[in-house]
Amino acid sequence: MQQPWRALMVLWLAAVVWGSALLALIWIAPPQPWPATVAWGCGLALLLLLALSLGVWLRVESLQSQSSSAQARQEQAGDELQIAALQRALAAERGQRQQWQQAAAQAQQAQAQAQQRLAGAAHALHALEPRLHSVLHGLACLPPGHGDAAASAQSDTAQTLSAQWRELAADLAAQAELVQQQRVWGDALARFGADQEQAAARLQQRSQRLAQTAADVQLLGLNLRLQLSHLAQTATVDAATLEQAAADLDALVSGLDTPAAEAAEQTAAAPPQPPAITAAQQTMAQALQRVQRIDALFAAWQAQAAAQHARCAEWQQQVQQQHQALAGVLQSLRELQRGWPRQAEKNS
Amino acid sequence: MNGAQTWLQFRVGGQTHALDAAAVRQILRQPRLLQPPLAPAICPGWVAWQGRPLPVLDLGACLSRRPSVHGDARYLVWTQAEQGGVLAVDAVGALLHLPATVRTQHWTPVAPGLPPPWSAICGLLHADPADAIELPAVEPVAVFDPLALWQVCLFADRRAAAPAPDGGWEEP
Repeated sequence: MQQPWRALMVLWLAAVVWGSALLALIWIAPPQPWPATVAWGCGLALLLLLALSLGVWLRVESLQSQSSSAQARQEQAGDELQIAALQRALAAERGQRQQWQQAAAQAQQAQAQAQQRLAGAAHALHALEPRLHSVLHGLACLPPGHGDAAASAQSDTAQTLSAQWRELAADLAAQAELVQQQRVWGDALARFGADQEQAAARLQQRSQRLAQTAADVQLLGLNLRLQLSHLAQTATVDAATLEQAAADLDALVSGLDTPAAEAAEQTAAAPPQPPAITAAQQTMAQALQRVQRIDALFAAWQAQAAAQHARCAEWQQQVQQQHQALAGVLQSLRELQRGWPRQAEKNS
Repeated sequence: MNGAQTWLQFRVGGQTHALDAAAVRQILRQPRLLQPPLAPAICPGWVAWQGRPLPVLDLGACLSRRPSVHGDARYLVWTQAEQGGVLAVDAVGALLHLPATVRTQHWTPVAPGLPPPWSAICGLLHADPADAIELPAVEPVAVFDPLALWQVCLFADRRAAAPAPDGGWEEP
């Protein structure tokens, strides 16, 4: 490109020198015959015309170069769009994977808290069990003759405590089952994440193999098309058959560009979904509420058992006092029985 | 057979060029390239093709552009006038088939005198011939003569670069 520009500059300089020389000749020298002046003018016009045509040619070449670069930019933009689509699909997959990992971490944390609370509840239940049995035993061993109302209260209290005990045991078994389900769910979520990573890797490998196969088949089709063009140069081959084969081959090769792009679009449009995280978290919250309710029930039962135990001790003390009073009355009666004959002999 | 001519399009450095399809024997992808030590960038090695060792010409390096010998390169095996070689290009496009009835409208021969390696251009195709019958020309495609390209690229340093032979390309 530099040499044509240099030639254009040389032509312009030659035209300027030629014109300057003509003006100087007219100004200094005496008037020349008109053929010389016409020759000078024609030479100047020819130089200007050459320079103008060279400039137009350079302009046309520049426009062609710009057209070529514009098409190259369009193709590059198409490639960049495909790369951007693949990058978006990859970023969406990474974001989904991070969400699954966060959900798995939250589920494991909630599971650990539930296990801790369940262990505390079981410990409190075991601590309460001997005292509850002693209370039930004391109520059962209440001495007779304490009145029908007291006996009825004993029976009601014992039945209530037994029923609450059975309910508590059933609640703890249900909580243990829930925690076990939560553990199974966490394991399934972890396996799901690992499976998704493996599936993404397999999908990427399949896409690469598919693109490689498409490139191979396209190259094979192009080579066959090349051989067909060589066969067409021979005179013994039917031209219509060759043209039909070439058209079929072109249709086959042109349809090989789509599978890789379609796979990328499917990956971006339909990312796989993990198990139902929200429902499982709600189940875990309900389980925690039940554990808290059982804690409160434990406290109420402990207070009730302590009150029953105090009442039982009071009843035992009263019974002992009555026994002592009765023993004193019996002793007085025996003394009266022993002293009654001697008193009768004195009176007689 | 019927006077039609076919060209094979390829891309080097972002531009589309073409070769006469009659000279191209096969298109290879990632052939085993024998690279001798201290090989020049224009001729990085040799390829064995049908029992013949053929030198490889990196057309990108030859045209002072990005080297064409890379992972996605295509290698065009050509034979012409008892000579042969391999041209490494960036990509290969479709074949251009131009009937004899419209060739003169879309083919312009290049006069000798261009500096090497552009002196290996034997003509210009005005547009994609498949569309040019109905659409105006948008971009000319430079058609190279492989034998002339070989001479101007490989033997330029020996001052043996000859002008493009006239027998390789006939004016349509």
